[in-house]
Formats: sequence, structure tokens, C-alpha cells
Amino acid sequence: MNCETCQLKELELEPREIKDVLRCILHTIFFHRTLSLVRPKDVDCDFFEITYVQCGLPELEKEVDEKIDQFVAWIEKHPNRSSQVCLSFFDEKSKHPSWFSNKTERIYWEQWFINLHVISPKRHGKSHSSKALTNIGGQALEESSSRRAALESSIHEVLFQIINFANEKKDHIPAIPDRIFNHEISIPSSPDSMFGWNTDVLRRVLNSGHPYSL
Amino acid sequence: MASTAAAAEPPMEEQVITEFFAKSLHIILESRSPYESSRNFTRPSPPSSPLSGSQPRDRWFNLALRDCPAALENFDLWRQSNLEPLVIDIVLLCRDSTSNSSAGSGNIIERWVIQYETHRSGGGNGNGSKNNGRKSRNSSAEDHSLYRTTYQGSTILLRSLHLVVRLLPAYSLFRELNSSGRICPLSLSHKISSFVEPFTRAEDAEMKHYAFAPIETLFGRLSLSVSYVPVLEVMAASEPTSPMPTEIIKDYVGSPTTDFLKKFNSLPSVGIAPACAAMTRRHSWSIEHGAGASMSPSPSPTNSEPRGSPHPNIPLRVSLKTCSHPQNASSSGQKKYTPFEECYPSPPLSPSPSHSPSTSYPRNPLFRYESAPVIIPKSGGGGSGLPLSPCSKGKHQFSPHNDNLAPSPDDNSNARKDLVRFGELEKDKTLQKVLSYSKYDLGYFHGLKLSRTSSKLFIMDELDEQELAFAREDRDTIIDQLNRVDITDRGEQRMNQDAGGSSTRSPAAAIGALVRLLKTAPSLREGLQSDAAPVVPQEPSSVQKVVTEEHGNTTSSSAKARTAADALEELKKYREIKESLLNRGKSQLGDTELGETHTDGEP
Repeated sequence: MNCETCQLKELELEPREIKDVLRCILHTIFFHRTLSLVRPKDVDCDFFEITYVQCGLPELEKEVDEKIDQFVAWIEKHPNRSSQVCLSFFDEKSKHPSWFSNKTERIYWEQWFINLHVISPKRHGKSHSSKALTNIGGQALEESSSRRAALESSIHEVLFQIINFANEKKDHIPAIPDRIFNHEISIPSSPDSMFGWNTDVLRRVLNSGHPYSL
Repeated sequence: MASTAAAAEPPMEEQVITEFFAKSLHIILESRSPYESSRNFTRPSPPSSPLSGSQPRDRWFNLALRDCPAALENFDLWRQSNLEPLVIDIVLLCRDSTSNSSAGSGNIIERWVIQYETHRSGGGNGNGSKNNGRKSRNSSAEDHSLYRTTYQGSTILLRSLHLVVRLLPAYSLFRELNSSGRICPLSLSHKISSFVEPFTRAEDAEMKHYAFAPIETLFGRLSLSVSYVPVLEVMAASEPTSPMPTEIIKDYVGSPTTDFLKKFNSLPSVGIAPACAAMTRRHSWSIEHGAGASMSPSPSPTNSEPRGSPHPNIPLRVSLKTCSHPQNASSSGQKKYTPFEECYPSPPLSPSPSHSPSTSYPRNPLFRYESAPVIIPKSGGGGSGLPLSPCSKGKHQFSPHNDNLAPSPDDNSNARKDLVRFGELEKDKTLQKVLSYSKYDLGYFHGLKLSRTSSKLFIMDELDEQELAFAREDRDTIIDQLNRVDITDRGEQRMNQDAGGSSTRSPAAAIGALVRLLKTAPSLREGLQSDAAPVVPQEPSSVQKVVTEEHGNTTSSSAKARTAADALEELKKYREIKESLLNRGKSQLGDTELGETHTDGEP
């Protein structure tokens, strides 16, 4: 089984928008890959005039929120950089034990890379100065609203990217289960590993034999 | 099922195609046809068990939708063949003749085309021939596999459709039209047909097109596309109901992070404070219901609204009524005030300075109650000075306007909030409160000197001796009440006297009175409970005046910066508080009424 990967367009956003944006994107992916019975639930973004759809599964919402919270916490420690959130779908099979894998093996069949560039809230652009000026003037407001409009349009693009990918690449999807597919949401967690990916993720990548295309 | 030309497809495949058409139509109309939206529809079954309560059609493509009878009732009957395309035009109708381009028919803002095409005739493309080859081998396993692929593809495509329908601009318009209660010259309609009526060149140029990836079936393909107007200019004219950038107000009154509340929590006299408030409430209530004792028949809040400003007394009453609301809630007068209570525009003590500058509440007529008392200042000598209490400036928790706000209806709401909180904490936390209180106001507890008021509103050294005395007395009262709730009336009286004196003296004194009112407001209930026949307070009127004055100033100032979203949030909070108060107040109904009758004699 081959593993399809989708690199989503990078979004430049402020920390406070992370939750909104990640929810929107993650739930959109889940909605397209939860092929068991769902009752769609419309959700309005807080910061954008975008309505997306959730599967209506409370456990999933909780899981997504928890992961986002972790990501936000990580971002607070590592501001002003690009980072990635990866949503992977996999099959779990009990396979012959190899020299460093467990009994069950994860066969990844799809991975979505959400690319975010979190910028300083005070001043957009890639400002590296920690002492950004506080803009209160009308010009700043205008800038911020235009930035948000641009971000909203970028989110639209990403959503359509998801839609296109989800519909074009589907032959690799396993048979429809009676529940949500096995999945994991990986966030950068450790500063010492490459791109913030923790070693656990790297190990799984090695196990699954599907190198991340970073 | 009705298809004839696609007979080559196996029945299962046929069924999938038919259901695909039906489901697509359902999804589209659900978000375009008024009153068929699932947005506000709550399913009886919990989402965690998606299978329960699902309809047969929900199971198709594992997508449970709301019933959409208008679109689907006769779908199976009028669909002649799956080979016919299903064309759904979403039409924007303008009753206003000005913007109607094509006479009477409206403008097509979206066209959805769902189509099934067979490969039979041409046998042309690779897929078709491949499928034919499979067919010729008659391999049921492969057929089943392809069926599975088709079904899975349709499932995904319909999810995409469900989302895209919400991403296109017409969805905002649809929601706008569906949600606004007002009569709108615009309306959305739809037209379903089985042939594609070509657009005019102008229309076509205006539209954008999006085609979903088609789904291969055994002998053909299912395709879905949409043409849409990317910018709906009509939306500009409509009132913005779309979500504004909502921001969490961390410092709103009910927020646990609010310092104001912190202060209340730290108050040693959980039950005490209300005593004074109770009196004022009783008093005001008596004005309303009393035997025409002194003032002109005070209008009920609703009545007073339109003419609130011209008469100084009326606004005063209004604010008093607001204060008295909790009690009224438990009494017969409750109904009258209900709407009023919900009008509390904003967290009175919100520290954010941005709230201060406004002079009146925008738009919402309900807020006029708040602004009405502004006029009152005349009645109280120090009215003009009150709003700008000197020391409050530097304090984060209480900006000047906040101080002034204290006694206003907002104050009352605060008090109520506190009441609720106190009720929760009362039993086990009193001691803790006392302790924490002492942290803030050491002076009070030891009766030595007042370095700060408990509320941290202002620095005490700005108060004159009398105020200090008053403050001490207030404290005493509070402490007394802690121990003996039944004596509260005396304390109230004293406090009222003090307050009356302070109102004419200096703004700081007035603020002191306000602070006291704030603190005392919550325990009204206790006082009521304990004293069935409370002493009639003689001098509350001055306090009330002060309250109204300050209230007016503060409310007006705090109003401007608020958004509708803020107000909504607050309204919700207040409603919750009101309900809790109502519940709690029911048991005390008799007592309160008694108390209220005594207060009629207000000057």
C-alpha cells in the first residue's frame, strides 16, 4: 500500500489564530476521511468568515483540541518560525517482528502536512525583533484586517486543496470501517530534533517505511 | 432506479448513482433553500451514536442529513433517467425592481450540474475499455471492487460537496436571509431542471467554475460541477450579522479573572453587603408599587424608557428599579422587569479603559435605560464630580467610570453575580474570604486605618474624615452582619445615612457610598430573610441619587466601546444570573414583599 502525502500551502498566521485555523483544516481533513456514518456539524471560524464542517464526533473534537493546545504551547516557546502539523492515517497490522518494531506495525497510507508560519502578533512580516512596537493606530488596524483577509483567502485555498486531493487520491484508502480510520496528529514537540519532529515520529516513519518528504 | 439508458450498470451501481443524485440535491438545497438549513437543527440522537435515529437515506454514503422533504419527496418519481443531468440553479430574487436584470426571473448566482455519462457509445477512453474488459470476463469480484470504489468515491465527493456548498459566497447570503428576522427584498430560490440552459455571455464571464474530480463507475462516470458568482454585491447592502472578530473579554464582570470579583470574594461579609442593597431595592420597589407615597407614579422600566431623559426623577427610578430587580424577581413585580434586566448592557466594572469614552449606548434601544440616569446628576450636588474620582485613574480594576458604575443597575448585576457566587461559596469559604480580604484591606479588620478600600477603587487618603468614618461604620456593619444577620436593618440605616451625607460632600464620598452599595447589594436576600418587618429607612434617597448619578455617567461612558457581540455575551450572563436569583428568591417572596411595603415613604 502506498502512502499518499499532501503538502498543504503554508499559512502565515498569528498565534491567536492558530486554533481557529488548525481546527478548520484538521476537521476538514477528518471530514473527508471519515467514511463511516457522520452527522455533519457546521462550525464557524472565530476569526474568519469561513464555515467548515466537522464529523460531529465529540471524541475527535476533543482530540483535535488537545493536540492544538499542545501545538500552541510549543509555538509559544518557539515563536517566529515555520512549523508543521502532520495528520497521518494508518492501518495497524500485526506483523512479523523485526529488529526494532513492536508486534503491531503501522502501515501509513496517507499523510497531510499542514504548514504554518507563526508570526509575531504585533507586527506581521518576518520580524525578528522581540520588542515589536505596539501598533494601535488606524494604520495598524488596517494592516491587520488586510492581513486577515489575505489569510482567509489562503485558508480557502487550502480547503480546496484538501478537497481536490481527497477526491483525486482515493484508491489507496482502505475499506470503509465502521468507525473513524486509525490516525495520529503529530506536532513538533522537541527542539533538538530535525524540524521539531520528535524522535517518536521519526521512529515510526522509519518503521512504516514512508519517509517524510521534508 | 428509474434509469433506463444506464441499464448496463448492475443494479447496485444503479442504486448508487440514483442515490448520488438525490443526496447531492439534498445537500445543495439544504444550504440554499430557506428553512431547510441544518444549521439550527438539533438531532434527537447524540452524535456519539450516529446510527441511532438515522433515516434510511442517511445511510447512503454514510452522511446523515436533515430531512429535506421539499426537494426529495418526489425525486424518485420525476427523475426519468440517470442519464439526464440534474441541474440546480440557485436564483437570487429581488423584489425590488431596480436590481432585477432578467425580468422577474432573478439572477442565477449558482448552477450545480450533476451528471452521469456512460462510456458505452464511444467506448473511447481507457477506463471504459478497461471496464468493458472486466465486464466481458464477468468477474464479479472485480465488479464488486469497482462498486466499492465507486461508492467510496461518491462518499468522499458528497462530503466535499457538503463543504463546498458552505464555502461559496451564496452560503453567506443564504444564512443572512435565513437568520434575519426583518423583511428583506432579497430571497433565494432554486430551479431544478434536467437540461443545461446556457448562460448568456455576460453571465458566463461573470461566473467562476469548479469541477469536482469525477467518479468512475463500471460503465461511466459521475461528475459534479458548479458555476457561481464569486462576489455577491448584494451582501454589502445587508446588515452585517456575520461574526465579527470576537475577542474574549477576560475582565467582564462575571469573569473569574476580574479583580472586581476578586474583591467580592475576598469580602468577609458575604451575607452582609446585601443589606444596604436590599434596602434600596425595597425602597425603589415601593416607589413603584407603593401607595403613591412621594414621587410621581414612577413608570415601569419599560414605560419609562421613551421618556426617561427629560425628567430627572424618572431616570433615578429607573436605575433604582434596576437595582431592585432581584427582589422584584421574587415578588409579584417580577414580570415587568424581566425585559429590563436583560438589557444590562455591559460589565459595569470592566477595567478596560476603552469602554469609558462613550456617552450613550449605540443602537440598542434597550440600553437607554442605562443612559437615562445620566441626567440625574443635577439632583445630587456632587454629581458632576462623581464620575471622575481622582484616585481611580491609576487603578486597573476600577477605572473612574467603573467606580461610578458601581451603584448602577450594572452594579446591581454585579451584586447579583456576587450573590450567586457567594451562595456557592458561602458555606465553606467564608473564613478564607475573610483571610483574603485582610490581605487587601488590613485597615478595616483592625479598625485602625483605611489605607485602601476593599474594592481597591481608590486610595483612602483621598477621603475625608467623615468618609473614613462612614467606611468604618460600613465595615462594622458588615462584620456585624457576618455574625448577626438579623440586625442588618440598623446597619443599613446607618449606612444609608452615611451615604446620604457623602453624596453631597465629595465625589470620593459618593464613590465610597457606591462601593458600599456594591458590597452590600448581594446580601439583600439574607436581610430579607431574617427581617420580616424591616425598619423603614429614612435617608436612602440620597444614596440612590448618588447611585443614579454615577450610574449614568459610567454606563454612558462604558457603552461606546462595546460591540453587539459583547452585549450579547453579557446578556447571556445576566440572564443566567437572573434565573438563579429567581429560583433562590422564590422562597423569600413573602418576606420581601413585606419589606417593600415599608419603604413607600421615600421623600
